[in-house]
Parts: sequence; structure tokens; C-alpha cells
Amino acid sequence: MLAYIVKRVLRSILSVFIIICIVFVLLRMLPVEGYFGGRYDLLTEEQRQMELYRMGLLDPVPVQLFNFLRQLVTEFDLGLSSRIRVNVPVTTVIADRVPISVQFGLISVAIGMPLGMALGVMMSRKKGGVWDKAGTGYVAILNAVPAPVYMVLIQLYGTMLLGAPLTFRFDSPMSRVLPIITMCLPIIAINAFWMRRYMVDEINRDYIKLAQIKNVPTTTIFFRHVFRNAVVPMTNLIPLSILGTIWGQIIIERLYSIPGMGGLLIDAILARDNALVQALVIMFSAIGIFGLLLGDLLMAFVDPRIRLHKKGAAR
Amino acid sequence: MKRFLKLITAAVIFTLAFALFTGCARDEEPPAPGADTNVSAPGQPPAPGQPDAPGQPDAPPAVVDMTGPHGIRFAQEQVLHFVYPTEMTNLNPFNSADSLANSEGNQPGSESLLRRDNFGLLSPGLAHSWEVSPDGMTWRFFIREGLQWVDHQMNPVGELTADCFVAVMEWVLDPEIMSVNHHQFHPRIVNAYELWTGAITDPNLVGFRAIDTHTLEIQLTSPIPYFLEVAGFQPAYRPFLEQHGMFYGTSNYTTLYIGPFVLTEFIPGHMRVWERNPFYWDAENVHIERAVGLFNAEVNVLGPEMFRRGESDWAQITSDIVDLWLNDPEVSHLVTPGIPDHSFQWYFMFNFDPQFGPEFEPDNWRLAVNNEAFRQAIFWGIDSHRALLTLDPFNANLYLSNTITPRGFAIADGVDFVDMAPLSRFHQYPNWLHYPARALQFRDQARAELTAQGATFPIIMKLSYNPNTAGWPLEVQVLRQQLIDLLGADFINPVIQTGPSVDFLTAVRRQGQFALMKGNNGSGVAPGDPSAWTFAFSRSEIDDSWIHWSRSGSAETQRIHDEYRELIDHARTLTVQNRERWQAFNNAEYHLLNHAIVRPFYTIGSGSFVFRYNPFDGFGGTGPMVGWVGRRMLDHPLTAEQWTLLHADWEAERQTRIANTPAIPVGNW
Repeated sequence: MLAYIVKRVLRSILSVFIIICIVFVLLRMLPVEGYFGGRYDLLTEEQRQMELYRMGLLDPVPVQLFNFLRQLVTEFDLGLSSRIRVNVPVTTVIADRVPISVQFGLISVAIGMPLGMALGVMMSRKKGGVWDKAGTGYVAILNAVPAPVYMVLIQLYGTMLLGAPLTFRFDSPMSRVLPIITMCLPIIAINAFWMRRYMVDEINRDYIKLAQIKNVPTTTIFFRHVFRNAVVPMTNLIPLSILGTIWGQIIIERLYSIPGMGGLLIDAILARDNALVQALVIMFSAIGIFGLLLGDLLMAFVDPRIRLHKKGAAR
Repeated sequence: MKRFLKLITAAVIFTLAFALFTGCARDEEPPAPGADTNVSAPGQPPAPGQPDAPGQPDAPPAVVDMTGPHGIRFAQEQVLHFVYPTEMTNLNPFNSADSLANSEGNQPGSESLLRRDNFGLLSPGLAHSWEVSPDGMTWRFFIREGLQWVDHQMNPVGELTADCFVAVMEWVLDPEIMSVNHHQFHPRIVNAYELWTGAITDPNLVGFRAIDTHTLEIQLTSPIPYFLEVAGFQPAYRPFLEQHGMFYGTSNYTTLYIGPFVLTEFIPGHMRVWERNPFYWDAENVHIERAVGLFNAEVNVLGPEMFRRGESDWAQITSDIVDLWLNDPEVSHLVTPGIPDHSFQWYFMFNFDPQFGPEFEPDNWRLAVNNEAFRQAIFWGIDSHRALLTLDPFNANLYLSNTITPRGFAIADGVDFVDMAPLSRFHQYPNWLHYPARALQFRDQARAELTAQGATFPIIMKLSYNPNTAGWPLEVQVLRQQLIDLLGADFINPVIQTGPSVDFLTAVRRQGQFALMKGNNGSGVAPGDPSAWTFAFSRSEIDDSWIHWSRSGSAETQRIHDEYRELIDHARTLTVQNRERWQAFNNAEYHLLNHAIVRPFYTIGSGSFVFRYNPFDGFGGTGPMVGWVGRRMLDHPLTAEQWTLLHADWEAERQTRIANTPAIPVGNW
């Protein structure tokens, strides 16, 4: 198993490396204006070339890539932001924003995931029952109504109800409540939806029918057998849900003035802040890859039936 | 099962604990200020927090009289709350010319040689007086003595001297730095371009030097009649600037402050807190103690509600909700118009060198646009008022203009530039140049002439617009329908084309990807001077990126173009700011409009607003992010009735001030 884990980690590192190379090369194919911020039109061609030379952008792409990787590994230097925060290291730009996104995200996941799973269990206990109908209605509404609509409504009326400020303030604990509730809503919905589905799958299996014939108590069947098996695939989502909090929440952070990661990549792309785009794409892809890896490992930890080896691997 | 439950419990506890832990991280103080900001002038180490004698801060002003004109009452607590939609990308006031968010955002902490008063007129800033040499080539500015630089914690750091201005010049023109503000210095100042391009390396050769500790001398390459309007040079404390180099202004603690406010807290993408600078030279005229700004990209959606709840002291009531506000008895009396901002003007541009695809029939358009009767038909056919109603349904008449130079922009000897003949002829037309009978007359003439030239009808006219500009998508729809209704679908076929939301100007205007489009240029090149509105139309063939006039391919259009260039070139040779010079620019603009090369539209500033302050008493602007000097917060929102009375007072006083503007003293040296 250890050999398999090592192999998977190395493969993940290789995937991240390939992504870094692709992103790096693609960004080098974009117009060079992005490196100059708003100064491009104000400089002479000679000055532009001088600046590109100074930034090492006139070197062959493989040389640039090697220098970039060397700086990344030896100094953790990803360059300076040219547009979003002029001349500030992109690591600082990101480091300033990650904690607040992670804080909101983790609290939302910690609340939303158990609640969603609990709702899924309740929905599956009696198909077509009150919980099932209410839960299905909740999931359907949340998916049907455009997110910005219900988010703005929650903000406008929720803050009125709670007497909270419309936007987030560091010194106002109450101002954190509604963003977290709003973040929880889709987490609850998605977890309830999948939990119900896995529960129903298990309920319809033959071994459950056998247990019912053998008069095993319903509660025992439900929690000891059905839930236990249904929850295994859910564990695969947990690491990515937690790591994914770093990505931030675009709409909620915009509405509530939360200075997090949400929308930073889009802003950087629109502003053509190439160094920042590069760093964010690398970071986000690494999170995705390692989130999936951890999900697989966690599944094996929870379910002893899953063996992590070449042929029997979960993924 | 137990294993799983344990795991879930542990995960929940871990995530909550980690979330709380990471949340605490933001509460940390920024890096110790001493590490970054305790830079003192040699031999003068000021003890942090203990003001030195020269910069002894004034006592906080007490608002004794709590009532103002027309029944307004000032608030006990002078705190301004505002919301801003775009974050500053740097806090360096002399590297901020690339965006309005930067140049406006940095204003409270900085000041230049001169400042603008609450009438928008120039008044002394860090220089208490100035003189010009008899030939107009050399200016001397006398800097106030005893002013202190302060850091973000209000600790005095050093004294302002003329060398602080020279330090900025050297920084901005350093080829290694490549500041966006370099155009402030060249081509106006001797050897500035040479230093910026690296042709010379000695900054002492630049005509921008401190001739003693408090006198700054500036040598120009040629006399500039409006030089004071562009003399917004800013200072920096040299030791601090040299310490931080290109990283000056990357945070509120890598910046020093000489202006009326100090940025004591700055969280990018969230908030900024400015506090009154007690060391500011005019601190007794600063009444706001604290200004708290919250970033919110959705300010158009949330701003009005934040105003109602007292979380913001200003809001724009956009056209989609203004009816709701005006029908609500609680707030209807608070909605006021905006004030025309003479520094920015919109006009309709014809494109004389179409580069768009064959589906828009560029050759046919080229024939049409080079036909003066066709242009005149569009010129007199456009109903500006109806088009602007989409942006401002109630006060459109305040902003519409019959000329490119806005009324009130340039006034001399009590006469407005636009009231001088021959340009004044355009003001005799009612309804903002919308003259249907004349348009139809020109339409028939154009149809006959263009048919003879082989043009096909209807003429496809590509109407491009930027979807990100408020009101434009609707405005262009109204324009299209209105032109079809008047001129006929068999004559013209305006086709609306959405432009890219990113780099719109580069993709559309500069590339010639439009037939008719709303365009603009700010007056920053020559504020307060009529030459400000000429540079978009008098470009060389290489950089003709507004109307592409110099590449029309038509002898007749080229003749009109050349005549305009001659008029402009003549006007620019007149370097003394007098009636003759203004007349020359007046003739040029008349020529432009008379041949329907561009069509005036409106001055920005339109819209509906609500205020919890008097917008007419702030130095430097009426918006929430500028004009904090002189401004007082009110204990109740300003009513529309009070706004009207205050506006009338302000207009009357402004005219008086303009009429009494003293002449610039001529130096005897």
C-alpha cells in the first residue's frame, strides 16, 4: 500500500509539473502587454524591449521555464503582480486572501456537510415521505433559481432580520452569519442529493432484503448496514471540499465585500496580470489533483474492502 | 461505522478549529511601522508619536456652528462612510495615472503644488505662491515651510522641501522604474524626455530643480498658457523613497502622507480607513475626522440600500431603480441630480477608415461617411435628449451639450468659450441639435449624391457599444430606432454590434471597427483650456485612433481635415492666454461641427444621487471619494430642495470667483 501511495503522489506531482509547463507556455503565447500593466501605451518600443529583457522574457521559452521552476523551488518566488497589486509579490497577494476564504469555507463545510448528509439520510428513510419531498424541493429550488438572485435576497432581507450590516466587517461577528449560511445552502443540497442516492442504492440491494426477511430490526439495517455502505463514496468528496475552500466563493465574496480568493483568478485574467494568473492556475490545479488523491486514500481508510494496489485501486 | 463517525467528528472539530485559527490571522497588525517608516532626515530624528515644533499638529477643529445654509445641519460625529467599486492597485500617488481608481483613491493622502477649490478653480496647495518669467518659459513655486511628512500611524517623519518634488521627478523619469506618470514631465519640461529615454543620465540637467530649500524652479520647452492647470507635481520624502524604490506605495505603510488624510488601515478588496492628518497645512479646514471606505464590486445593487441603512453617505440611484425611489415618500425628496463634470465629454464619432468585415459593407460606408450631406443628415437627425433619457430620465437637460467643449469648462473675462462666435451659432438650435426638417433635407440630398456615386441603400451603419458601460446598451437601441424612424429604413440600416467587454477601445475604436459610435476624451491633457478637446481630432496619420480622419481616402474630407489642422496649428502657436488664442480654438471647433465631423452629445455626471453631505463645499470634487477638504457631514440626508438652493448659490459664487481671478504675477528675476 505504501508503494502505491508513493506512486500516486509522484504521479500527482508529475501532473502538476505538466500543468505548470502547459500554463507557462500558453501564457508566453499571449500578447506581452500584460506584463506592463497600464504602462504599455506610454512606453517607447525600445523601453518595452528593455523591460522584457530585464524580466527575462526575451529568453527562449525553455530557458524561461527552467528559470521559473528554479525560482519556484529554491525561493518560492512566483514573480510580482503587475496589475492587481502593482509590484507586490504574487505569493503575498494570494497569502493575504487565502485565510479569509478558508475560514469561511471550512466553517461552511463543517456545518453544511453533516447537515446535508443528515438530510439525505432522512430523505431516504421513507421514499416519497415529507422529508423526501421537502428535501427534493429544496434541492430543486436551489438548482433552479440563479445563485445571485437568492444570494442577494438573503443578503437584503437576512441582514434586515438579523440587524447585521449589509457587508462583512472584521469587527462584527454578526456580519459573518449570512455569508456562511449562504455558503452552506449549496453544500447541504449537494450532500443531501448524493447521500440520498447512495442510501437508496444500498436499500435496494439483495443483502438488505435478506436482512429484512430475517427480521433484523429496521433501525439496525438502516444505520449499521445501509448508512455504513452508503457513506463510503461520500468520503471521497471530503478532502476536495476542504481544500477547495481555498478557491473562495466568487459571488458571495463579491456581495459581502469579503477580501478572499473568490474572483481573483477572473480579475487577474481580465487585468492581464500574467504572473498572478500563472500562480493561481498552478495552485488551483495542484489543489484539485491532491484533493482527489486524498479522497482515494480516505476511502481506503474508511472501507477496509478497498485495497489500494494496481488492479484493485479505487481510481 | 464507528471508525467513520470518529473520522467525521474529528474532521468537523479540525475544520472549525482551523477556520477560527485562520480567521484570527487577519487581526494581526501590519508589519511594525518602525521597520519601514522611521526614516528621518539626517540629523533630525523625530521621536515617533511626538510631533516636532515645525509640524505641531493643530487641535482637532470643533464644529461650533452646527447649522449651514438653507437649513442643513451638520452631524456631531464627522465620519464619512463610502462604498467604492474598484480597488486601488497601488498607493503611490505619483504612479497612479493609469486608472481613475488609483488617481482618485490616492488623493486624500497626497497634495500637489496647487489644489482645486470647491468651485473647481486652482488655488494654492503645497506651494503658497508662484511666479512666471516674462517670456513664460520659467516658473518658480514657493513651497510652504514647516510641513511634516507623516507615516500611517501619524508619526512625523521629516520636513517637506523643494527637493521632495525633485525626488519624484527623478523617480518618475527613471527608465528602470517606468512610472505611468512620466507624461506629466515631458515634453513640457526641458530635458525630461531625454532623462526618461536614457539619452542623458544626470537629473540635474532637467529643468526641474530646487534652487533653495523651499523654491522649486521649472523650465519649460515652450510657453504653456495653461501651465498651472497641469502643474500637479507631487512630492515624496527622498530618504523614504530611496529606501523603497519601486516598492514605494505597495501598502499603506510603504507610503508617507502630506495631504489632508492618512491611510491608517488598508485591506485590499475590503476596506480603507483614512484619518484626518493633524499636520496638514490646512488642517483647520478639514472637518471630517475619519473616512471609512468599503470595497464592493456590486455597489450599484447594494449602494442605495446601504445609504438607506446609514452604512454609506452617498449612493447613485441608477435609472432602473430611480422610479422606485421617487415613488417612495420616505426617500423621494432626497433624490438629487448630479453635477456636470466638465472634465469629460461624450460625442458621436464617424469612422472615416472602416476596418470592419464585409457583412457591414465597409466600402459602401466609406462612400457615405465621406459625403457631407450624409453626415449632416445623421448630425441633425440624432435625438440626443431621447438617447440620454435611457441613462437619466429626469435631468438629461443638465448634461446635454451642443458643442464638444462643454459649457462652463473654459471661461475668460466672464465669457464662456462656447458663447463666443462663431461656435455660439450652434447654441441657437433647440432640442440639442435635433432638427428633423434639416436632417430630412440633407437625407434627400445625400441619397441623390450617393446614388450617383454608386452607393447602395440602405446604408449599413455599424453601431458599436461597450456592454460594460452603464446605460450604453439601452442608449444604442434607442438611437438605432430613432434614426430609422426619422430617416427611414430604406435610407439607413443601423446594425448594433456588442463590443468586447475587455479592451473595448483597443478592439473597436483604435481598430476602426465601428461606423458610428459614442466616444470621449478627458480634458487631462489641458484642463481648463480649449485645446483639451482638440487632440482626439488632430492626430497624425500614425496615431489617428479616434475617428481615423486622416485616412479617409476622400479628397474632399482630406481638405476639411487639412483646414482643421491649419486652424489648430495656428491656435497652438498662440502661447499667451488671451481672447485671440481662444478665438482661434473657437474657429477650429466651429469648423469641426460645421462639417459634421463629430456630433456633440453630453457631459458626464448625469444620474440621480443621494448625499449625506453638502456636495458643493468639498475641495476637488463632489463624489464620495474626493473633495474631503472643506466638506462637512450632515445629520440628515440632503433634500432635493436644499440641493437646488445650494447649487444656485454655488453657481453664482463660482461666476464671481472666475470674474475675480487674479493675474499670475511675473517674476522679476
